[in-house]
Amino acid sequence: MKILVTLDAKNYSKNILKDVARLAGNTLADVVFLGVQDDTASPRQSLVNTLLKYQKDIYSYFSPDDLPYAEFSSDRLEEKGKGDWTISAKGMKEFTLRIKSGSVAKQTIAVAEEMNCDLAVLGCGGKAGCEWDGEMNVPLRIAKDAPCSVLVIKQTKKTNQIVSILDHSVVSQDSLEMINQLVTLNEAGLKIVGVQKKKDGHKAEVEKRMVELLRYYNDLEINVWVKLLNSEEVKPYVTNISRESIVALWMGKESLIKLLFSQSMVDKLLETTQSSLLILR
Amino acid sequence: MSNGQTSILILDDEPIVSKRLKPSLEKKGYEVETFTKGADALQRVRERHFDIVVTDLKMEGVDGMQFLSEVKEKYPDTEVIVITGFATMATAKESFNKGVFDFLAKPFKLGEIAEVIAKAEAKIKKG
Repeated sequence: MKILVTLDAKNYSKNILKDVARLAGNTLADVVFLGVQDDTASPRQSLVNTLLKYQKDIYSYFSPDDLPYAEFSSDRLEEKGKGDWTISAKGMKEFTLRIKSGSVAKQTIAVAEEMNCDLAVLGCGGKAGCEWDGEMNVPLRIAKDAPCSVLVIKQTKKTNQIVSILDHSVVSQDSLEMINQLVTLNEAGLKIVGVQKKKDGHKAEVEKRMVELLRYYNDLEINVWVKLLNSEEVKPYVTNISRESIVALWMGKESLIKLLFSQSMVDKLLETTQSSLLILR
Repeated sequence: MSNGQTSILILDDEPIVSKRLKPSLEKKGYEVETFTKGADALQRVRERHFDIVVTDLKMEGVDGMQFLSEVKEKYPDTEVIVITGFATMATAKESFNKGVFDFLAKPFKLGEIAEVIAKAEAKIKKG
């Protein structure tokens, strides 16, 4: 698994490091830490220092025998292109620091595409919403356009339930696997909520999809709870459960949920959730 | 390694995994056999040697850890790559203690596992 983590010096970034370390430790992922700055001349030293500090924090999570990453040979990032600097260390798995200049959302999406990542992770600010320092709607724009699944961590409080909202459309194997990793990581229960349009003929398809998923989890000897909702019940339900659970929204191209959850609704969800939001692709 | 072709056994109870991996690896020149049932895979490794074994850990009716132990016991030179949708640090540690070559958490891209297989192959060829 390849994980991209976009970070800055703010608390909403610092606070996700423990979760990132646990995720990296469980999955033995290749990890890229991305910092984004305005200027293109050279990597800003304060940002370099921040990322190096975060790298040390992540490494310290592992015992020396278990650390899958190597130390960098120097603290100096090499220029990869204009406004693009990087340093990498390859142990059993690879750890990379990358600094790019430009917009946080755009550069995150660009690096996610370039590295072919499986999961993009970022933190999200406190009570007033989900703003990043100096740039509007960063988590929302990344969630909307990233080529991979996106995990927005709002608060790193322990959650014991993952609620996965699915519809009639084909759910990718990658999405199921991402949910499974989060269930394992959080030692959480899994609830699958099927969404159907009240008036159209999707009901049978949704039910069929739910049965397939039940069979899938039954074969893996994993208990799941299943619930079926009409489309108009989804928004209040998700708003309510997002206070206690990690919500995973399947938002593939053909997804009904993508239609139901307008960008403003996802933004609102990012604002109100007390846990984390996983956008699945 | 027969006729210079590296042989790979893939065991995953989700048919989609083999369906994705087999053609891609065969295109790269590997000899690939796929299994969705642990008992069948076990029977096959008792019959013949594989250079590389790719196995899931959590499968219906079979313990992947037990399977990889048996493979390593019978053929210590076989490189085993673990793929799992339910990764934990403990299972990774246990896998490495049993001598696996690498541990990949699902989801992963085809390129990622192809790279790991190429490294395992290079190690085998190096002796």
